Amino acid sequence: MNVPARALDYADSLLDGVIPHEAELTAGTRIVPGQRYGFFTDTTLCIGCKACEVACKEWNALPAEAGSLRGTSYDNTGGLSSTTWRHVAFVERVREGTDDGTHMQPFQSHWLMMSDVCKHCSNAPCLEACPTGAIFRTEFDTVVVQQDICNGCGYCQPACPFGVVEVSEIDGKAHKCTLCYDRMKGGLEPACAKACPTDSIQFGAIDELTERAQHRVASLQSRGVAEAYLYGVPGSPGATGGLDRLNAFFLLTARPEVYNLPAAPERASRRVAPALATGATVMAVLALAAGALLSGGRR
Amino acid sequence: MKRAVAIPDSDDTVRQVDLRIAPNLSAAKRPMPTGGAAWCGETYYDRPALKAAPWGHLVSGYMFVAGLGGAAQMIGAVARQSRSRNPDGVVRDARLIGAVSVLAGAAMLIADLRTPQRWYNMLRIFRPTSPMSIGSYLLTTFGAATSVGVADEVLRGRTAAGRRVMQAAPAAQTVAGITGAGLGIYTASLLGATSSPGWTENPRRMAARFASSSFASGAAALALTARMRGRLPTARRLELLACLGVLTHAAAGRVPGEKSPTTAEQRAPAKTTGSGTAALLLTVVPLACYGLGRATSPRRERLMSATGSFALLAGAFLSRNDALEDGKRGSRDARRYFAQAQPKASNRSDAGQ
Repeated sequence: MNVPARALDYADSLLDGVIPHEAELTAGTRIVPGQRYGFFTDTTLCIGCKACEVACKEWNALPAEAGSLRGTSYDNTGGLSSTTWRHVAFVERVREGTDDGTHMQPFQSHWLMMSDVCKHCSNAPCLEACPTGAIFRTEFDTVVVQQDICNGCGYCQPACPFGVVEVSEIDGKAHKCTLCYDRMKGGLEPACAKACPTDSIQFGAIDELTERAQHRVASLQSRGVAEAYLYGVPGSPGATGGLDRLNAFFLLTARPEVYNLPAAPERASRRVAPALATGATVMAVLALAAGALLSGGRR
Repeated sequence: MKRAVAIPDSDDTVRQVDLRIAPNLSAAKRPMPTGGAAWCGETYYDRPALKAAPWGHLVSGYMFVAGLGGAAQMIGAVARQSRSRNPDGVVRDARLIGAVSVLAGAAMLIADLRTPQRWYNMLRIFRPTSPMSIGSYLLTTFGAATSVGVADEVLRGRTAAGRRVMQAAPAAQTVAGITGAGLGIYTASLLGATSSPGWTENPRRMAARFASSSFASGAAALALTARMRGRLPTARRLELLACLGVLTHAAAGRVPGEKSPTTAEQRAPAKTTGSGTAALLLTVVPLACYGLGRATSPRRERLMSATGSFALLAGAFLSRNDALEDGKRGSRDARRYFAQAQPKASNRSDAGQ
């Protein structure tokens, strides 16, 4: 990443205020309304430090979970929720091909780590399900829940094909990642991407990120990581069944299910019309039958 | 040892994946799938991949009540149109049942919201991709049309306002009939337009079932009120309609899905959906009671028919509740979801093995 020359204008430790277009200095992107923005999460760079989880909680003032040990891996968060908008998955594979742990591959990177987040789908099923218009698409092509409108009906919750959005028991509203809408408004890179020490989470304009991601896959494959692929860019797993693209997409090295992602999610609203049509047909036939039966006595 | 090819871009690569590689849990520890095909490959410690809908008895109660009241008003509208022997009685009962159900249904829906004081935001926008939005407007229109009908029953054209209401009442009855029919079916579309496996496996069949059981429960409720008022011939006809609805419901299990099932695993949900109790109460008991009632004395008939109608209503509620719970269970079962969320065609059957 090339740091613009104006970075030198802000060399002091203490600054008077927010640096204008700060994302240009930290992520190499100037945030302009009307452009598509998102995350490219490269799981091959993730070291599982959970800085993104912490940064997200700090910036968005999300309450802590009452912790408990799950006993399956170093992931005790478990998954995304109304109070966890970044979640680091730990796939602790101790064996492959054999039944014991003595035949592990000779490097620890056999553990897979992945920082999961709301995918900000294009044709977002949660947005399409929301009856109040609380969920809307922003000028940055991200999907955000308006807290002053949501009435907690809970329809977005089962509509999401990735199990992201959740209605909070604390305040009775639906919550999920906003892609730091407030920070983006101020020209700042989202908190998780800024905090990521290995650049596993990269923030930027979608077209630029997609190109970067495709180069990364090609580079990894040329170096022998044949299983590297993108999840969520058009034409790949994740962007299926009417979902054109995921604005937060991922580079994965195992099947999507391993990371708790569906291989071929579907746009839920596709099923509205078939069900309505079948139901209406059955009801119409029954109404006709009722008409015949009820009028029979007079004639 | 074959290494897992992990790029599921195409059908070919998905099929090449060796499902025996690196399971997180041994077969013994793996939870039993809750119905339908199950993904047998590696998962993320079998943690749910979806969030279950946060809905409980209030919502299944609403789906039942709205279907019942809506179908009753639809039958009322049909009775008025078809010049039946005693349309006024059926129409009056239909209006009352419709009014009670719309009040009770709206109250249940609002009570189920996590922020109920903002219930009016349901009418803030109209969103055709959201059956819940469609349903909000159906319920509102139904409520308005039904209240015109109720006002007509109360005023009976006595005052100037009453005469105006009387003129509007036939049109209002038609509107209530059409939106009432919609109330019985949109809930199936609402559940189908989610990602929960129990609901997405066959939304068409669910819609056919919801439509027919709504119709049956509306007819049964009208039959009960007709018997209460001693209008036996009408009650018998309405019970016949209820039987028709119940039989349609039983036949609706054969409605093919969007993706026609090819393997035994994929056909399984049809059997696992719904408990036996619901089917017994909704189908067997009413048919038996109505049938036996006709064969005995009038006093016995009254008791048997009422039993049949109440059983039918209880069965209709239970079947809605079973449908709701099936989807909630399905969304907690990552293996059931992953089996379904596979690229189309050939590898679908692979996932179930």
